[in-house]
Amino acid sequence: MQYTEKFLTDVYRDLLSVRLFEEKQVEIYALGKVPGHIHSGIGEEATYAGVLATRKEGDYFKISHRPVGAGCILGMPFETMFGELMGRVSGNANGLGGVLHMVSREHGMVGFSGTLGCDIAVADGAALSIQMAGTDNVSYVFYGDGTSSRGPVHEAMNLAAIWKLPVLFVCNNNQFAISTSAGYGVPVPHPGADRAAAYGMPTRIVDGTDALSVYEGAKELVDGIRAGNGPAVLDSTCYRMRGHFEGDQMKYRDAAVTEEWKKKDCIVRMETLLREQGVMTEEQMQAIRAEISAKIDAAVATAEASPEPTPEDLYRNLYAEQR
Amino acid sequence: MSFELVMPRAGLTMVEGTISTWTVPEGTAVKKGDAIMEFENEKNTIEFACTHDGILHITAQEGDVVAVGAPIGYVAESQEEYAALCGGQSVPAAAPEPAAATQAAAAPVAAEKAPESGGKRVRITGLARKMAHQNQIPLTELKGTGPNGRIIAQDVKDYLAAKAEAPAVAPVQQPVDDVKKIPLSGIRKAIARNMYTSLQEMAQCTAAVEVDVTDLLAYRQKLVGQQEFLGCKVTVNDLLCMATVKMLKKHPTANATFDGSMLSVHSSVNLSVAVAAEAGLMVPVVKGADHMGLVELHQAMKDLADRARDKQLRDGDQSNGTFTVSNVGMFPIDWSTPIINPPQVAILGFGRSVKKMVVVGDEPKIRSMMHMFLTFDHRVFDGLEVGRILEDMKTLVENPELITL
Amino acid sequence: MQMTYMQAISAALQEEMRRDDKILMFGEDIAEFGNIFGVTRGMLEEFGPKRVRNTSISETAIIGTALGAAVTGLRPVAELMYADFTMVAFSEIFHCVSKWRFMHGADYRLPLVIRCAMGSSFGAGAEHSNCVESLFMHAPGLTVISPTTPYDAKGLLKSAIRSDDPILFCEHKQLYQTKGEVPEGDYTIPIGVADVKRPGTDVTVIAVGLMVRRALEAAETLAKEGISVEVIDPRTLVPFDKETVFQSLRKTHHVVVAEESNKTAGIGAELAAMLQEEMYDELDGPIGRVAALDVPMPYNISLEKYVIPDAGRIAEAVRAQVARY
Repeated sequence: MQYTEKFLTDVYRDLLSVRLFEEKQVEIYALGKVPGHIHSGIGEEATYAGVLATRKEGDYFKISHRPVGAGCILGMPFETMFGELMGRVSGNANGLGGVLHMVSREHGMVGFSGTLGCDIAVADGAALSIQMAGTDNVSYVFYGDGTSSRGPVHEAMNLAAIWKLPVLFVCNNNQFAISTSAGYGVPVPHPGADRAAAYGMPTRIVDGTDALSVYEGAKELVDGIRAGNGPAVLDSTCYRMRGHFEGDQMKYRDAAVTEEWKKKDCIVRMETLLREQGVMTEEQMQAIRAEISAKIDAAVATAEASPEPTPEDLYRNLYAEQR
Repeated sequence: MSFELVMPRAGLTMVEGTISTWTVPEGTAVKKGDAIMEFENEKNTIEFACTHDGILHITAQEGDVVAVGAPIGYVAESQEEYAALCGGQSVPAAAPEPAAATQAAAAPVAAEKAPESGGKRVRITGLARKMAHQNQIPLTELKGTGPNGRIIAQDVKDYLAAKAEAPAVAPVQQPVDDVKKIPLSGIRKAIARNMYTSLQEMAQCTAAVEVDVTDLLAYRQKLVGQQEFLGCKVTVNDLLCMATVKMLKKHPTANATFDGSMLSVHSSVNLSVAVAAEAGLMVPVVKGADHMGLVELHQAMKDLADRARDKQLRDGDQSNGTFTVSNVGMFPIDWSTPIINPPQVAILGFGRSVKKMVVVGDEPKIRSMMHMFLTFDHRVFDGLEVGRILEDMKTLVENPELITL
Repeated sequence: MQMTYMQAISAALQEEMRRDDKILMFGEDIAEFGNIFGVTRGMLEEFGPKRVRNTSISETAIIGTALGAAVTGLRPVAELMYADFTMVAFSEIFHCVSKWRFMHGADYRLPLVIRCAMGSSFGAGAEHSNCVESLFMHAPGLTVISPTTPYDAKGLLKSAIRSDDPILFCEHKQLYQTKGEVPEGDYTIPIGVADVKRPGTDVTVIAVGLMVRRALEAAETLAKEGISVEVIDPRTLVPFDKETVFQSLRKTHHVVVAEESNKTAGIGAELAAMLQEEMYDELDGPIGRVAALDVPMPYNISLEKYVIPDAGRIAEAVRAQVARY
């Protein structure tokens, strides 16, 4: 497929934004600036960058907990993301939702749940809104190989299929559900694609370390969905570079295999391509990196300067209506 | 039915008793008159005789201090009732009236403090408690007719209705009371502290005698006649103080100070004289009064009294007294019970003199009579010594020439 | 005009669907079949298959879809058939629907209603007879409504559909065929306002669901004994109208809570705890609770009757309130 320089540059920016967010998240977590626990999505950025390159105005997005920084691709400001991540009033939920709920409604994000799977049908609901409105928009939903075995995922796929809802189910197979490998926990090689047939959905299997491969698979499916053909499943295989949570020693997997996957890192692959095709020089890439890093640093500083929520904030959003 | 057993009153002063031992165990079948428990009051160990036949349920344990009239246990007439008592349903269907009355009298607790009443919890609903509080009814006066004898709102209403039926007392119009707050001055604070400490720390007792001062007054008039010769106008008080000094020389244990374990008897009389000044009571000391003649004593006392009234007393003027006199004879006061000036051990007071019909020999005579009253520390003195002191004082005062001898 | 509780609910749904085309409904067997009780009969014909949708047997997807639809601008009325099936989608209701706005911020509105049919219905057994209000009173963020008359059902369902907050709307199966007066035309009943179903002076009975009718029956019997009972129907369990109950209690000083769910940790448990905390000084005795026995609902009909409180048990609890010893 032929790509414009702008397209390639945009995909690179998206990849890099998520990567730098994820790295910063790990960094400030270690410094004790983030409550609870985080789930690093380093190594999984290409699935989001590639899929979301197919989006258009009016689409809806149900992201997942890994990489949680994907909202920045959709335009969610880093300030709001870090505000929520760090439990501050400047977060989208005033710091009461946290790392698993960094979203922006105005950027089409419908929210997501830490219960993994209970929120898949939320994308069906967004797709229902699209279907009722009669537009050619798509509702994107991301989930992992672990979640793919949960009942609510299958109920959601089933309902989307019978109602022909415009949903793209994206199974981001990072190969581990905490410590349980997809090879053990899923009885088929491809947790998304191999189950699509059960619901009569088209599917594509893509290389989740290559943003362009992801894009190409997603584009085919999304075109079909926009044409009114109903839901589809994209199966993207990548590798979770870090532990499930920070401090996870990952004794359950072979370090040599991890090293092999590191060679296929999605950022490195994209940079090589950009260099080889003469789209960007090393300096230009460094400049983009520096620019995004500066934005992230500024956002962290803004979040840190934001006050902690007060007891009054507890009730502020509990109900929409006064009571 | 089950019956309440209460701590009996065993002695005039007994307000509470301590359970020493239950001589029969919980659940024993007991008979009226059985000795089932021993308790102690301030004087004795006493056997408690059971007041009913039945099964014993103990509620006050060994070592518990229980108010007279408060429950110590129950006697149930049947096993079922006994089981109910043990299950916490421990209020008898009908508490004996006298016991309840004693209890109310023994512990008239204000309504809001009333849940504990002689060791017994008052069962009452929230509403009834509020109503009792609002109407200032002690909970112990309310009879509970709710489940388990619980006091309910209707019981408070019934109580108020019964009160309303009682002869109406005309409401007293309370005059408007403007309270002016006066903080104690330094002198007042010192007096307050001394007086309070004195009564807290000593076993004070007062004895009085009425004496015939007709001759004393005549003798004083005679001395007043010699005013120019003497260079001063002798007062009755001068003579009484002189008499006191004489008495003290004969009764050195009264011219003494006491620290609670050691009595210090002083050879010299330093006579403390109570002076009523506007700022408060002053007690300047005539040092070495036993070495003074009447005129010297007069002058020393006049000097001290004048300076006390003018707030001109110096450091030490009120210290080291060995005995105090307090003369209230200028007021219509016959006698009082003066408070000892610690660490002294006694204080002698003089009341006013009044002409009275008294029997002299077997004849009624009009005589001037006066009370003398001695407050003494009963830790130091007994009646014998006090009797002798007052006897000597009476002799001196009724034979005034002995005073100046 | 006279109509049944079910007709009132149907009327509310129809009138609201006509009023606002953002409203749509979905659930199991609600389209051609018209819901297993007949509540949505005729709706498919009037509103068409886009707005009246059957689902597969997928309770979690029904709730998740309602959530996503609400967040993106629709006003879904989701139906779970039996209230017992809320348990199948408990995580979706408890974690997601109730907490969504709290977790994601003020830009997230959830104008959705979850309808379900609850309560005993002559032999439905342990998995089709539950009353679930108390379980969801424990889910801050959720509104719980349980109407007992045709008038209340219609007015409250309309308010629920118009609310921007998620609502669990519990309909009692045994009430579907009961009749009552319902005014012509549009009206709503505010959420969170209790109704005094019968005024009285001696004892307050807070009755929920089917127990309202039984409490009224008991009140009739007790009136002949000289005991005046005030029956309060909270109508909305969350938010709970404390003030109406407080006012009643200031008058009667005695209260009994009657419910059809199991006694332990039930509605009565919560209300008794709340009332003793906030109204201790007005209570002239312990708070009475009348509830189902702590067993799953038996299939055998005479035992089912035995497990659920009847008017006699409510009357007994009221008599105990005013008994003197």
